[in-house]
Amino acid sequence: MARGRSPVQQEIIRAARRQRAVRLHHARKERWRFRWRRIRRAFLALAAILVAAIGTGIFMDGLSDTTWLLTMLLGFIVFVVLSIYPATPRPRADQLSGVELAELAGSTELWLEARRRALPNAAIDAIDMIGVRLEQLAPQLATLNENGPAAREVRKLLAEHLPGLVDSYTRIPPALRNKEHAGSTPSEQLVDGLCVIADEIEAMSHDLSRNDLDALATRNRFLETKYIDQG
Amino acid sequence: MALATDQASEELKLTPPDPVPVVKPEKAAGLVPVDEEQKSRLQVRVDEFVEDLVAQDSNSPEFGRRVDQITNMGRKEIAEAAGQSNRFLDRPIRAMDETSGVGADLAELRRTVEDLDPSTKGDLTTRRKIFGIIPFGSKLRNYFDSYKSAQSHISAILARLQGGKDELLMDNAAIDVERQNLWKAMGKLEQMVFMSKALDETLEQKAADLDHTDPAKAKALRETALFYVRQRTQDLLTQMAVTVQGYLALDLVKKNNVELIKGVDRASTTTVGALRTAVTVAQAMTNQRLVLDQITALNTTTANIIDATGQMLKDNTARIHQQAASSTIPLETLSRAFQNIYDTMDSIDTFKLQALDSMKQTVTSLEGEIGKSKAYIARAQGQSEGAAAGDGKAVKSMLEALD
Repeated sequence: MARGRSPVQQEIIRAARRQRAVRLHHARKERWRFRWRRIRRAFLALAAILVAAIGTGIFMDGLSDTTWLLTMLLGFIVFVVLSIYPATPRPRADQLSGVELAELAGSTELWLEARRRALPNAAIDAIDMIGVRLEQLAPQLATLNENGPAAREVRKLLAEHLPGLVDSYTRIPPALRNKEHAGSTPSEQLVDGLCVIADEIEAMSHDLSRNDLDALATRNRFLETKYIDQG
Repeated sequence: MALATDQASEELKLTPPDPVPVVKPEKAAGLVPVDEEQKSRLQVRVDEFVEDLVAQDSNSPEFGRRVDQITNMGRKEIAEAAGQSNRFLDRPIRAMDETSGVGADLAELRRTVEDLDPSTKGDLTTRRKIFGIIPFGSKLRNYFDSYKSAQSHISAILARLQGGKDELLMDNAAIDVERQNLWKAMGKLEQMVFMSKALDETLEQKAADLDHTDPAKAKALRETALFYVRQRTQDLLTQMAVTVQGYLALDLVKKNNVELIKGVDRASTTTVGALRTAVTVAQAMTNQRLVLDQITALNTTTANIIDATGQMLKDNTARIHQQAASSTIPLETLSRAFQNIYDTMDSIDTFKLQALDSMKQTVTSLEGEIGKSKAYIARAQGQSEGAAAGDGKAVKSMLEALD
């Protein structure tokens, strides 16, 4: 990145890398859960077809070889189809706006991870930064009122501005991404934009916790005035 | 009488604070000092910024972008300070609410106590007579019996008053925290004001220097950069005035609460004092042991919570015992004890009236000022959204307050 960075931020990013493994592990687990469900369903369908065939066989005193063959073929096709469809949900940008607020941070993170490979190396730091801050924001969003102005702001940033930025970058043909345009290259512009978003997520997280910070400080001050100052 | 004069000399004085005056924008700056080191660092930023600005071609988009930075200067600081100072108006003024909380409890206490007041009962020393002829029981005995039925009610009210007092203390704690936040916000604003003034000066000088060598650029500096800087200075000063006023207004609420806490304490002690006197007087006059368990239990807690007045109460109790036992007119002692309660409540009422008045003045003037700053914030909001929609490119602003 063009801008020099303080050692503190480097540390955060290093921590973010470590955390990334855990985050991706969670995300993959989620995806595997979905796959297992799909495979289970495929096996169940296969078993149902077999049971039905055997039942009919017993009832009709045996089936012809051709029927058995056809049944097997049907079972195979059903198994294959069910284990491939429906496809594992890969969060898409237009789906982000419909996601529940509590899951917004997680979905955004998955979406961003899916996009990671399409983005330039210089942007990786910024993406990790966003990842860490999303992690921090996630529990706060769970308790936020869905219709409040704060929720609207968060939604706008995560489901609109961030995908907007990344998508408009990925639409640019790779050959042009490092050619200068409007003062700097698209890659640099992307990195700058991602940094702004990371900072903004941090600021939002701080805003959301302001009331709690104040409440704790107030309680502390109250205890002081009630039990210490008065002797 | 010793007791009466004692309490009269310690008369409760609740002084409502004066209303907060309107703070003029020109006078708002300078409340929070910006130290020399910060000043020099800000000055460096300003110098760098101006150097950078002058180095650009006055028609280039780069020049325009830097001028945009000026129009956005202090937006964050202003928005933050505005969020803080508006909170004063959200703060419920518990003390002034007649229908709930401390106000309602005090009113109820007064009604209950009035029912027990010996001076409204006529001559208690005469014997009760059926049809006015046949002697039947003692008025005095019946009178003291009424304490027993009232005691649980009174102790419940007193407990609620203590709860209300805790709420007031909590309010004050919240005000302390808010004032701390405001102080920080004002520090940032102060830095921005300093910065915009320095910017004004430096730009002015630069433009004068350029008048001979590059009149076009000098003109551009004056017409765009300098113009926006002056607009920003005005905005910053307006917000500063509102914030200072909010800061002072919070102090007003706090002082009101402190006075009210004093009043609540005094009302509790005088009530407990009157009840104790009643116990003593009952013993002296009717040889009846008036057992007010709940009140006795309350004595200890009240005395613990209210240390200063509790001490006074303890001292007085001994004296009351003596007087009640020895005095020829113990009922008068009791009447005086009740009078003390009334005096306390009356002074709370006057205090509330006066405090309400100065509160109202403060709120009106603050609302006016906040209205002005709100208009600005709406404008700034629109600008920043426009900027966000315009290009995703972000340039780290050089014109920011120090942490």
